[in-house]
Amino acid sequence: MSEVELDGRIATRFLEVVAETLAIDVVDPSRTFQDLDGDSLSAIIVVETLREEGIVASAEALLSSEPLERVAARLEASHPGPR
Amino acid sequence: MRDGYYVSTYLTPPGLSHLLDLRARHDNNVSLWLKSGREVRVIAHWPVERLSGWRRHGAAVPDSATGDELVASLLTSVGVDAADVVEFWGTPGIGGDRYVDVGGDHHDVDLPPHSVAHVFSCALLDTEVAWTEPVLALAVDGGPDSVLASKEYSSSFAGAYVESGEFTWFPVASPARLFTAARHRYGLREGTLMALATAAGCDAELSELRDEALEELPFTGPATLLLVECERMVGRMHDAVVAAFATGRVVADERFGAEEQVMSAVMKEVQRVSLAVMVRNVEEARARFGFDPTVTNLALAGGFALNCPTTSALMAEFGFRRLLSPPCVDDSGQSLGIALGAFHRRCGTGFDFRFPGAYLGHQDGELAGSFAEFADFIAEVEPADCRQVVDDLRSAPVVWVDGRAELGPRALGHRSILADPTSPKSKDELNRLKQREWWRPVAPMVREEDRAAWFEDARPSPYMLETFLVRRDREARVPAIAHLDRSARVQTLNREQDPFLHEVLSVFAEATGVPLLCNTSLNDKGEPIIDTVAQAINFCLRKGVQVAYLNRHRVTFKNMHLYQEDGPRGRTTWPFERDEAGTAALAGELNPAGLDDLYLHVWLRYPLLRRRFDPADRRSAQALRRTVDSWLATNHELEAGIRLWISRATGLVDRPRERQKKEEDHVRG
Repeated sequence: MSEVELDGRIATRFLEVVAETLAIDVVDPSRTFQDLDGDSLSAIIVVETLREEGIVASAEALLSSEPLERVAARLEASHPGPR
Repeated sequence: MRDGYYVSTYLTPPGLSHLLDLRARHDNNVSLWLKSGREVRVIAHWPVERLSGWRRHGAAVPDSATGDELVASLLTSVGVDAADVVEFWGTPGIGGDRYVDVGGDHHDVDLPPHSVAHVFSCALLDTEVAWTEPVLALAVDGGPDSVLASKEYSSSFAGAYVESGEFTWFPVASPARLFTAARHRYGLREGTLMALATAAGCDAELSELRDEALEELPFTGPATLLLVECERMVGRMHDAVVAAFATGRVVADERFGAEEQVMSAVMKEVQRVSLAVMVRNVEEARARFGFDPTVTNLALAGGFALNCPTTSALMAEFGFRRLLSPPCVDDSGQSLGIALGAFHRRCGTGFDFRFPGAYLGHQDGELAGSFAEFADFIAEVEPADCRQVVDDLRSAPVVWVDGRAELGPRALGHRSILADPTSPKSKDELNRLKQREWWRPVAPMVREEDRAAWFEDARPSPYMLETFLVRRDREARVPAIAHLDRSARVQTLNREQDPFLHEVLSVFAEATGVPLLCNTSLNDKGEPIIDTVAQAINFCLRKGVQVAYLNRHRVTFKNMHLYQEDGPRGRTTWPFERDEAGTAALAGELNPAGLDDLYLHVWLRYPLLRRRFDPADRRSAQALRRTVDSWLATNHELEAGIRLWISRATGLVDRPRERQKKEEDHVRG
């Protein structure tokens, strides 16, 4: 059971973009981006894709050793909006 | 899987690569296959360089239609209609709606498709062996192309342990980038540098740097990073060798120039590190799979498998049962590996294949036409006779074109210059004909049954992929063939492989007591191996070769001094020609946003970007530009690496005239 809420709009979209970029069906949010073979290029692609949708993420955060659920939760928190 | 014809191609894909003049792949090649029931046969194999005359051909056709036309013309030459082909594999954009992606990833392998294809090309050389005996297959080369890649792979080089036809994959280390780095530094090809390593005596014995290289360099890849590290290491070896000469620690070899001596000492170190890397590959695999080498076959492919001393050292040190390597171990064998991988994926062990030998290339049927064209220069044409061949050989080297061309980078007696190994003049004469350095050794061809009498521990070596030592008591008899260290790159030949040439060797042995001939490839400097009779005649007339054997006809020449041509005969280049109007139209279609070349190169190189963006769409092109800019801004070393890679991949190998022009512009600029 994941320890943070991942059903927010931003977090959901973030995990979708990660999955699309890395060409995997479902992302396990307890793993890190690099666990899933993410590298500096795929991190930039995720960031640029989100930016076009008005979501501001950073490649450094993606490439840190944090699990994706934490990155997602932080993104959700930093983009307050309609729930 | 349906019975019928299949075509596998390893071409630089049409379109953007043509626009950028990018060799996204080199040593382009095409092969034709026929499946009937369990039986799979390779009918023909065409290295594109023989067609175009551009060494290690990597130039792209402008569009799919031209590519399909090119492939169809090859098939027609062996009487096959492209309409009858079931599927096309290997190059996206070639084969229309019958193109099937089979060369890409499969789920259990996290290794580049390029290297995986190399593994198939050697491991499945004979399926009777692969289905019943253990095989250790190692693909070692400079690095993969990314045409069929779906991602970035953490390792660039593939190995597999095969038992009962089941492949267990693992990453291996490749030393080849050290040779690439040396080629870049010295501007000489790998083979030349290797020859220099053994030709000159100077040795700096840099054991510390060697250990460091072995421990520190990332030999499993990724290949781009590995190249940067190898260039640095070769630079340090160079400096250390220069310093060792300066202090008098190295004994000079005065027959050579100063620069050649330095290169020789550096290449000795590179060769030692390379062998150690390969030994470590085998030892690690043995520890993991616990095989007994004496009942296991060693399968090698990738350009580094042309490094014969390493191959022979591995065979001798571990005592492998046999060596499995096609003659086209380098990328010119990719279409073999792509096809064999496809058959294995579709049929498992439910098919049989045995590589039929090297003579699968073009057969020139234009003999009469060529004789007519050169009528003013041909003195006499008569049927070939073995005794006459031997008489001719004893007076001078002869040019030899017979039947279908051999595949791979080495001439194996169908497009060769043959000479008398007992004459010390032969080596000099062959090096003169080919404009090579005086110290370049010449390889011997020996009757397979006589190999042990002439070479120490010699195994059958039909594709000239091993070196053996000439026996001490025989050395003086064959001064033309041995390196300084008595090693020789041997081609063994049996009656089944080529009855006529085998007979020539027998008659030569009767006359001289020596069942060997000197054999070097038939081509001029800067030119790939000659393909046709007309090209061979042009060579003879320019070089003053008096006698040629052309498809079993003895041809002698006259009026040579009147021959006007001063270079190799032009070949078929129409599918690859570039012109301003054509590239402008292509640019409008493929790059309407006018992205700088850098972005297009990076897009082509990285599968992730290819999947995500489309430069032909203006909006997507802008997103691509922003993404690449942000990425490169994070890492300046990366940008330098990419720019280096681009400069290597464009304008390097073929199109001699264009390259020359670039160099001139560079000098002027």
